[in-house]
Amino acid sequence: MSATGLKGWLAERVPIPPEMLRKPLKEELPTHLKTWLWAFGGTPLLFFFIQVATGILLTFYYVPYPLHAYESVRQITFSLRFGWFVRGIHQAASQLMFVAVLMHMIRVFATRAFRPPRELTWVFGVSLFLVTLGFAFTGYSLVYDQLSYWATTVGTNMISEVPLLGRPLLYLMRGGPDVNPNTLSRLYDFHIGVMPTLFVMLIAAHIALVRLHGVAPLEGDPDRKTYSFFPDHVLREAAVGLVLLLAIVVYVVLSPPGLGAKADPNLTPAHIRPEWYFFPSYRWLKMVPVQVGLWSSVAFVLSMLFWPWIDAGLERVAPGKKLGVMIGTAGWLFTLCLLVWEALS
Amino acid sequence: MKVESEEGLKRRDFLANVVLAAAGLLALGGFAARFFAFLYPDVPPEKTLEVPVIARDQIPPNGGVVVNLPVGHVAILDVNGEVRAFSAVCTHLGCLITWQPTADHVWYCPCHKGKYDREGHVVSGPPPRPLTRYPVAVRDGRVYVTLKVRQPMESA
Repeated sequence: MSATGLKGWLAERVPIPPEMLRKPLKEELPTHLKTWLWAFGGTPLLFFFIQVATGILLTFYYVPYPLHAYESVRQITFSLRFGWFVRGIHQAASQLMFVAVLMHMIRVFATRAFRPPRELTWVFGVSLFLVTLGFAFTGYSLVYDQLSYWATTVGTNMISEVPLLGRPLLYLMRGGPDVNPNTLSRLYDFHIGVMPTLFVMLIAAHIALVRLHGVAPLEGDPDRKTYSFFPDHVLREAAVGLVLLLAIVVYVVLSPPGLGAKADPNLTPAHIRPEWYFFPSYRWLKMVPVQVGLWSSVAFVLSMLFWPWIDAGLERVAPGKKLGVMIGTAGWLFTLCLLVWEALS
Repeated sequence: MKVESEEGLKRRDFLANVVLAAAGLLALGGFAARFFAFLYPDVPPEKTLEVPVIARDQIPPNGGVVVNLPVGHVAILDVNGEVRAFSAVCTHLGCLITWQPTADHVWYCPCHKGKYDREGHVVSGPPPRPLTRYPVAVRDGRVYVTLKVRQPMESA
């Protein structure tokens, strides 16, 4: 069948009007998006696709049961052909996905692209960031080595500090009072079922709103020139994506994933620390009482979620003073200080 | 007359919608309650039990040791011949404490660097409460501790 023939055959069976496909591809974007920094919005999506692909491969061998989980990770990492590569890519991409989401969020924050009417785009974006953290926590718990086991214990225990609902929530999440076989299967289910579903729904809502509103114009930018989404911007995103893919592969080849000692519920290791992206909260929890740690974390997350409205309120209080930018930047810097402090200690 | 009939129709439609919405909510609630019950684990009730923990002579003089039992983790301490027992679970976020014989003579939690003294009181770090203390009895050279236990959870 010739190309035209196949095209015609398809068009007859899937009768989508060509302009319906052309319109989103030819969307006009403001020229400031030509700056490379603006090409990072699509990278979290790329990493998510990498995670889905490598994650599905890992499920072929991973066994979410305490007696076998560690052994199955060891088999993947050290015995299976290219197991180290698949797990390494999954691990490295998870870290880069976190960085990409964070960078995108900081860029949107710095340019105040969350201003009306784009508040909900920001809310969905922050929700994606929180689910990314959830992915990191649950994924880390599945390895079932010492650090993974005790990170699960500490992480889930925080929930028990919630007044009134703490215990029931803890039991629900762990599938019992203590970390037990049910806990691993629950975290696994969250990691491969609940969270990906939620993530896809949030991405759909986030991207739909970005496309419906159009890209936010720069504040005080008189230049209203535009360029086309396809192929110009898509090529930029593709170039960034390819460079990052290459970086991941080089990193995994040079530094293949390892594995700590098997989880021992009877011994908390002497030197225990979570993954680096949890350093700020880890340092914070060492500094303050647990209730303060819990509620300040809740306040931080809520203020991130509702930042567009907080920023607008601050703008009303002190017009033109950019109070929101100053307070927000102080918050980011404080978090960064906690991260660096923990990393150096 | 026409207006009245239209209003009547609207009212009827409104009531039908209310009934439909209520039925829908009831059905959703019914599903949600059962799904929640399905996910919520059966937590065995706690019961108080005296359990043998360790031979008296296995506790170092003026030192501590953590004993891991199927029913829990117990921290045993000798203070000038007196035996004390605590839960070995840190009250901060649930890691296991260890005895620090060489440094400060304290119970130490490696997770967030909490420290407890020989009374189980918090010396430093973030733990919000003292260690849970258990009644102790020494009989025939064995240390018995009374603690609240649960049957270990069945596997998934």
